[in-house]
Amino acid sequence: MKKVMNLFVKRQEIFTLLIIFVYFFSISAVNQDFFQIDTLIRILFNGTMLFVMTMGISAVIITKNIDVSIGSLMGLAATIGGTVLNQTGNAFLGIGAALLVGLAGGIFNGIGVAYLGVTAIIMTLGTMAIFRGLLIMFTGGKWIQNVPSFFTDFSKVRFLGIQGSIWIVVIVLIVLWLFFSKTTKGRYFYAVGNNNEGARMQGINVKLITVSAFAVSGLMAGLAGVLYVAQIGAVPNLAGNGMETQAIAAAVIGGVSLTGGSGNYLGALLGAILLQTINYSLVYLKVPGYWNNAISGFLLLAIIVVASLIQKYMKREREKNLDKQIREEFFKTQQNMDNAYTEGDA
Amino acid sequence: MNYLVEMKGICKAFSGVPVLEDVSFSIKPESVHSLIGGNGAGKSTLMKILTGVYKMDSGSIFCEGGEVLFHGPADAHKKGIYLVPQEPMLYPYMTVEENVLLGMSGNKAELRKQLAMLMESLNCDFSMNQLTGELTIAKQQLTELLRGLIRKNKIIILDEPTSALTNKEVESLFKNIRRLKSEEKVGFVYITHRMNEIFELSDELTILKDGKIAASGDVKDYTLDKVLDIMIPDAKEMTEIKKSDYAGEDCNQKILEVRNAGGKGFFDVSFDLHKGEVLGLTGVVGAGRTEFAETFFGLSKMVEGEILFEGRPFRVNSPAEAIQKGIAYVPEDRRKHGGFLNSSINDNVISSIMCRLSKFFLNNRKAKSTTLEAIKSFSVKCNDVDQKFVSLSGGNQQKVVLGKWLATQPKVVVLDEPTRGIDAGARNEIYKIIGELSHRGISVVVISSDFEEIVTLSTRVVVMYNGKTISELSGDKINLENITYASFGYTKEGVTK
Repeated sequence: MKKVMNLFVKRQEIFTLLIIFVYFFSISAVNQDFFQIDTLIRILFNGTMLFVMTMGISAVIITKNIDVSIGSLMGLAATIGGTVLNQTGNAFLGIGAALLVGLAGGIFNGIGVAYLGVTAIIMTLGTMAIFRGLLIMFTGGKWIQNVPSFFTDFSKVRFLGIQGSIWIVVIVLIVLWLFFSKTTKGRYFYAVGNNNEGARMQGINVKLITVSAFAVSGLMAGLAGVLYVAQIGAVPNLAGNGMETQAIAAAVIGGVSLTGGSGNYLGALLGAILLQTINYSLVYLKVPGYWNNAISGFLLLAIIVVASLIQKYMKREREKNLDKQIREEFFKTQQNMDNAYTEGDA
Repeated sequence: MNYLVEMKGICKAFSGVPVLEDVSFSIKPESVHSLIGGNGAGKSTLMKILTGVYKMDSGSIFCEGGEVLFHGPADAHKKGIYLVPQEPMLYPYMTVEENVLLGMSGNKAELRKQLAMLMESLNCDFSMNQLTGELTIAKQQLTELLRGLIRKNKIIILDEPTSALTNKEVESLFKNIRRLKSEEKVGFVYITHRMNEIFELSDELTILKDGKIAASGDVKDYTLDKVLDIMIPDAKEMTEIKKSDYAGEDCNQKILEVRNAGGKGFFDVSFDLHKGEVLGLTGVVGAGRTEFAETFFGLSKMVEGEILFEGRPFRVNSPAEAIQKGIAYVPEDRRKHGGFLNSSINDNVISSIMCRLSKFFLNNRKAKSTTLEAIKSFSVKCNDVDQKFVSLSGGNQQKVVLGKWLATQPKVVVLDEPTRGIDAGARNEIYKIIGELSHRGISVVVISSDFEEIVTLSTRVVVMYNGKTISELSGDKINLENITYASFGYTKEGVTK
């Protein structure tokens, strides 16, 4: 039992993968139509926005912060990117504009948190409203429509039977995963989330890392905006609304701990895939689609409660063991101290 | 003389209180320089200035022939100055290997080999693949040491590195220090409370007292007694107050008997507390005083030994139970644990006795009269009972916190550092309050690192060292000299056990 729990805590992504399979097969048992490779690809295709945003926000959560503005930021990036695209007809300018908006929004959040000392939740709640407000001011309440078809077609071009936007997710995963687990700079993000003060004492530029984490999150929201325009072909004023809850829930489900400093990118992506599978399956279970938000919120809380219960249990077990060791160590030191006195006397 | 680093005329004050005054300190290559001093002497502050954690108010630091200004630990690291902190500051979800090697450049495999060798030579009995969050404090301390020793530094500062280590580990640490000293010409700063280590290891020593240099020079010119004598605080402006004078016929009644109590951070605590006396509980920081008090108050679990309260076994699992039984504990950090910052004085005072003032709705009149009484008897300077706690001065805040606890009509009051950060005037008033408490027959335990305060207040003194009570002083024996010696584990005559 303890070993299983240990594994659960240490390698949550394996469990996430397991749950995805179990869930997939059980839904298939209820509805035969679900059990197709095509369903799986469709789930992935529809989920690309959530996937990149989940990976983006993981950078922030790993550094022990939170970013609730990414839903609005995605909407704003999609709106501005879509408008530039419509006006110029140049795909690169449109993509560039959306990414730039995302990056700038993220850096703005990061500067507020790291340099102005605003708590992350307050800062991003504020910018969540600001980004949404800017979006509506920009569009005047109208949707962005009539996106050039060459752009919407591109996301559906298949390579090895899989759409272009899914390949983008794969590339993002590889880049972020390599950076965050294999490079020194990447590990600094974990260090900051593990022990902020300790990282500062080690000479790590904590503020810069914090801003970078928000920048990654913002950039990914911008990328999600691009995917949104490409896949849906229109941007309503409420685009991205509630995506932040979904992304946070997905990251946590995938083992990125809200206490900071642990979790990895593969896990985060798998968490997002699980959440997306659940969202998608609701159709097959004949559950109305507007339940999605309630379900991801519920899952977020459930996972957090279960994880914290398990961690509490583990901690108690560990402390029992540690307490014993500490006392043994103490008595050893005590004896040595006594010896030292007698030596000092002689 | 060629110094690795020279600090000249360093001054530093925290919120107006001077911590370092005109301190000069230098480190030679190939030497171990011990930095010693009592509580709050400024050792850690001086080292944090050297490593750029704090900014000095005035003074200058010279390194490699030029003046330097460090804006953060990163700047100090660039000059090869590295501090191994007293409290481990590790990344709990990362492995030992990553904790130690993070940020080091070079071949990964090569570094790992070096780490393995160093761990072997320090007798580490844990693997570099373990998560540091799962290690004991001693092993975490070793990991911190590994971090400092493996980097190619010119100056390594060790802040009480041996406080949790066993003799064998200490020996191998010393061996490594000597090796780095002679082979790599590293200069060490060694902060410790253990006197024998100073003479065993170091070449030079500097003694800080009240933020000033009290003595400095070659270790050969000093003896144990000489060092301890220098560290005894100057009896400069000791306020004479009337010591507790409770003389009821039950004044010899033992209200509290602590027998071999052990728990988190303390291991063998024994003392008696008589009715109406003021007992000083002292020692160097980290000796286990606060840990004992917190356990006594039900904040953490007692593991061994027993406590008798009025002759009956005493064991509480929560502060609520302790308050019920007549214990009051005024913690060290008023702002963090003691007071409700944004509430009124009134709310603060009655917070501990809410249930007595009401069945369901609060009896506001009774509440107000309790508060007014507290304000009057402690002469709290304030406009009215609804003034916010946070707007009061430190001394008055402390009086309100005291008032809050005394409203519970306790039999035993434990005060942890009651006058830290309080000006002299308010300090004397608090001493008066303590005297008044004992006069009324309440037993008071004063925990303090300020030896003068202990001497001024206590009718009896218990000194803790390394988690144990090692000395009990009363009557004429209560003086700065005896307390200073005992808090470092010695008596004037020789060994204390």
